[in-house]
Amino acid sequence: MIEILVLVFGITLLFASITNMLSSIIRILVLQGLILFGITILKSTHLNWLGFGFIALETLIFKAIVIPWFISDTIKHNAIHREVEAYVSNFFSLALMSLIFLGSFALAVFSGQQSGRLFPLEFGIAFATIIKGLFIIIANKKLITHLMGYLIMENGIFLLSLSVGTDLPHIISLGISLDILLSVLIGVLFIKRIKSTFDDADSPGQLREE
Amino acid sequence: MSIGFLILFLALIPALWKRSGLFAILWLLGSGIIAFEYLEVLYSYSVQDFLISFPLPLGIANIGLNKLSAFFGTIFSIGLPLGFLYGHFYLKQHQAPGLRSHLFWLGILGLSMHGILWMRHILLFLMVWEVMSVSSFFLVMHDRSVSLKAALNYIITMQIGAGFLMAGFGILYLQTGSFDFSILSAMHSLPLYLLLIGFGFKAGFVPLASWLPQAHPVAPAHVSGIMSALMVKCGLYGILTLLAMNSLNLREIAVFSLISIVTAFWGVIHAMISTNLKKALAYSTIENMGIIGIGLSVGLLGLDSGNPVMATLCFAGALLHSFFHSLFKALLFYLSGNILCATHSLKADDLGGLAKKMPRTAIYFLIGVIGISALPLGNGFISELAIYFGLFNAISANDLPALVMGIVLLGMMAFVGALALIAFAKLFGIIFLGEARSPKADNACEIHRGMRIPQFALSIGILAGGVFGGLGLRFVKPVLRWMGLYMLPVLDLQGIYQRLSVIILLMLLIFLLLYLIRRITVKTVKSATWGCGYQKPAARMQYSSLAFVHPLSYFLKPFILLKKSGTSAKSMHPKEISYHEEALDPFFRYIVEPISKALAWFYSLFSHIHNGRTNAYIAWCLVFLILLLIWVLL
Amino acid sequence: MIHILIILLLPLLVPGLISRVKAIMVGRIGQSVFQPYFHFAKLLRKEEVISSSASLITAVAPALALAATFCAALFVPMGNSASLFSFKGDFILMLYLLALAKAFMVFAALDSGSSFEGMGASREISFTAFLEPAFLLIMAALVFSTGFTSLSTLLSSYSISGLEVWSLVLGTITVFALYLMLLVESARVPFDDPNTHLELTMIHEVMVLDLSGFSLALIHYTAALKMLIYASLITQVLIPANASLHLLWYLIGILGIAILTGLVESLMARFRMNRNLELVLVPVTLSVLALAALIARSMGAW
Repeated sequence: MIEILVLVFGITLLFASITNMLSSIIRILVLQGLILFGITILKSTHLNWLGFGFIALETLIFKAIVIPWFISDTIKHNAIHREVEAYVSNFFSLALMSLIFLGSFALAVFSGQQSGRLFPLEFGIAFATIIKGLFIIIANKKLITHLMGYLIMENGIFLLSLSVGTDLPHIISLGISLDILLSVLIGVLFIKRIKSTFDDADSPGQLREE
Repeated sequence: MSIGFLILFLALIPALWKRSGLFAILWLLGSGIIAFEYLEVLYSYSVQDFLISFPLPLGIANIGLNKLSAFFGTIFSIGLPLGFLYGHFYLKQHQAPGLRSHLFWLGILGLSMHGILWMRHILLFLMVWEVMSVSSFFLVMHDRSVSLKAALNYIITMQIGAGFLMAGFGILYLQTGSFDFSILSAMHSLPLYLLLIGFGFKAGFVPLASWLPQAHPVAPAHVSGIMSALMVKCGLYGILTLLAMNSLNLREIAVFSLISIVTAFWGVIHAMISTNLKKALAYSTIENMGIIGIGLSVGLLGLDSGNPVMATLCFAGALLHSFFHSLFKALLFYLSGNILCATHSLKADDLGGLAKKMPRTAIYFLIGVIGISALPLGNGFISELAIYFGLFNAISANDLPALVMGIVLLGMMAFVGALALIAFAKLFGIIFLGEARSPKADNACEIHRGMRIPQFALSIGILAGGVFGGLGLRFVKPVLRWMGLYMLPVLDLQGIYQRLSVIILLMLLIFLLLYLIRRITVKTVKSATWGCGYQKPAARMQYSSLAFVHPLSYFLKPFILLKKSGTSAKSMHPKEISYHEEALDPFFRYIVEPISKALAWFYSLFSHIHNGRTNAYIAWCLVFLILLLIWVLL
Repeated sequence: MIHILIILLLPLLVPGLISRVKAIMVGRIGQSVFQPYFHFAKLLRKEEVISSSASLITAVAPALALAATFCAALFVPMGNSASLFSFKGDFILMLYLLALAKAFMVFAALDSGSSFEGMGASREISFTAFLEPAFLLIMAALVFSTGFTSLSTLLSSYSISGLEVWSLVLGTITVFALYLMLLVESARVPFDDPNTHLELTMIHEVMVLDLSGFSLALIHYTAALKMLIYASLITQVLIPANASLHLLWYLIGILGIAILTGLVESLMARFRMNRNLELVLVPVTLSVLALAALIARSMGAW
């Protein structure tokens, strides 16, 4: 069951390469949050109510509900144009995605043979997610897409911590969720603040690199 | 053996008297005898091994054949006489000064190509290698007005390659003190790399192949065919000799496979966007060398990782491909000579509709295209099938490096094969099908029957090799046994080729049945092209060659260096606009040209010394003597 | 034998079913499911109009395309788990026979001397460039899990069982990639619109604009046979090897895929042409993912 969820997680990355709409990437973030929730629940061997509540808070509430709501709200408020404006065409991002999969799985098997306490499938997909998130940041023009790429990268790091064979240490997940929370808050508030400060200037929807 | 070579030496006499017909006939005769002897060495236990003692410093030289030389010797003795026969008829149509020397150098080239296979002494080998390079240089320069620059580039590149060979051989001589070929086994890495690079210059692997697309298009058609089909195999022969006597470790195999992939990809995308027929064929030679390299690298991986089945299959595929490539590449180059004779143009965008004017040329070209795109019916499929089998064996093994390399090479080889199909479908479609795009093509007519004879022979060879794959495999078996490979997969492959022949014959049967039914029962009416109701089609409105590859060229643009120039419309009623696009070779432009410019600038600093006055020269001599005196005294 | 009967009789039913489903979805009654058969019979009786620009290729190409596709279909298991011909590695031959058919169709298109056919030919052959690696990589995934054998053995020994989760996941990815290949090769929405001959949708339909009568009948049959080949591959991946009533499940699978294609055609719009060329890379990425996951699982630490 875990393997199915992890492979579906990998397929969502494929969708991120194909799509041209910002709303699709938000849906991908929601889906990834739900999958991570499922994976953590299935992986945790012993669970008390506090642990369950914490995990549910972090993955389900934060990743799948609050943050995507924040982002779509920002997009609506600032009238950001709905297309993902990329520097490279979908073809090259798909081709690069194939190479990323091949590379990260080769790395996963190689490290697995070295250490032996690794789940290669999760490791491979997690590493591919991190590189894909980085690639989204590099290859897109809009600032809001950079934010979403960063969030995908954080999802990948979360999955990476799951792929090492120990039980989920709460310190790591605490650190990650704090990280995400602060970055999203700062990003969103920054964008909102710009709009209210420079109300007469160009709208923040045109906030992008050229 | 001596009778055959004697006849080939005698053929130089009619060459000097401009009797190209007699020259070609003597070559056919001599090559027939030699081919018989080569096959005897290949299949039986007969040995051709002579020890000749030369004056020092050469010492005692071993001159003889091994199975690999016999294999390549048979390929040469099939390809060379056909080429010379075609050349006889071609040169009659394209008169140019210097026929006497051209025929002489043709003879020398043929003899030196055979000679390379016999020499087992590194100094003699280098001497014959140089003779081969120099003779091909003179051959490329036949029509001096177009070919001078490319020919000079060619000879200089070949000399640099020979320099690498000399360096490698020199290091080996210093290490072992012997000139014999037996020093080539179990080498250290430095001489091995130098020798591989030296042979790579001749074979046409990528960073070293800038000379190929420049020299082959400007040479006359028979010379291009011989060079592209046979001479690059000399480089391949050198590489195979080295690989048979040494083993590479995993890192070196990975580098070799990377170079082969880049070579194949590079060649095929430039072939796709070339509009000049001969240039596309030259790039396609680079691509096929890349495919042979892929086969060799997977075979080496099989030897290294202990998977003998994979090794046998891939080496069989690589050897088969080198044989089959000589057939279809020669055929396509000779056909380009046909087209040049009939229309005086090789630009695909000027031609069109030649299938109605030159039907036999069109059929031979179609067979050549089927061969080179590795479609079933052609022999290219047979060799690529063997390499695919090796790759799938790599995937079903349990070894991580073999798996990763197998997957990457499988994807790239399938991709390169599909792109080659696109490139050649474009060439065949634009040149032969549709309507004539210019008066040059409109006035074409079928050429002299003599030029078609060697093309007919090659087409029969391609079809026979394609339908009866077992024939090619039988040709390659002795070499595989000589290399010490495990022979059981070859029996497997033989059975598969037999079943393949059955299916292909079945397909031809069904095709003939349907065609005859149509021929007999269906009434046909001729009318103008409908084209979805477009009333007035014009010949120049047809798809052009760049438009044909446009959907993919969008993705290939990062890999191609394009130089665009043109004038755009300036006012509301523009008089004239132009656009010129050319694909450049980045290795040539960014590496070779700057170096040669820098060298030329450096030498120009000394141009003051050359001022033509005798007093200055004597003054320089005096200065030199004074400096020498000072140096001796100190 | 069942196999030959299926190859001869079943292909034209698939386009008929697809058209019927599309008609029902928009509220019409639509033509009979057997209409392509009647159309085929009518075309055989008509005389052919040959373009004055055409050469021998136009006469030869449809017959050769059909012969090649027919021989490719002999390697695909239809109706039961064995195919008529098989040898180790025959899927490579099957792929290249389909490429031979496509090459000759492209030649016939360029032969008519009209730029419309040239456009269709160039786009059609560009799609092949990415589908060949995708197919071979899918086969590589099957070869990795069950060993290097013939196509029918590969498909029958790769069984999807509900208990083994991995086979379910990989089967899904393989079936999805193969289905995308079916849509591209048979020129269905979202890659091409088989109903129109306009410039926007000029891929497959436009290559046959200048063929008529007997040749056009052969071409229709060849296209339907190609669709049947891909649909059979998908169905045989899904059916476990030792199922009883294999023929019944096979027919249900083929008809189900036809109905599904009709639904997809009705519910989706055709993608922009540039986007099509980009999307045609998706089967390659999917098969690389499946292959990498397979390798990681079998060589991994757990």
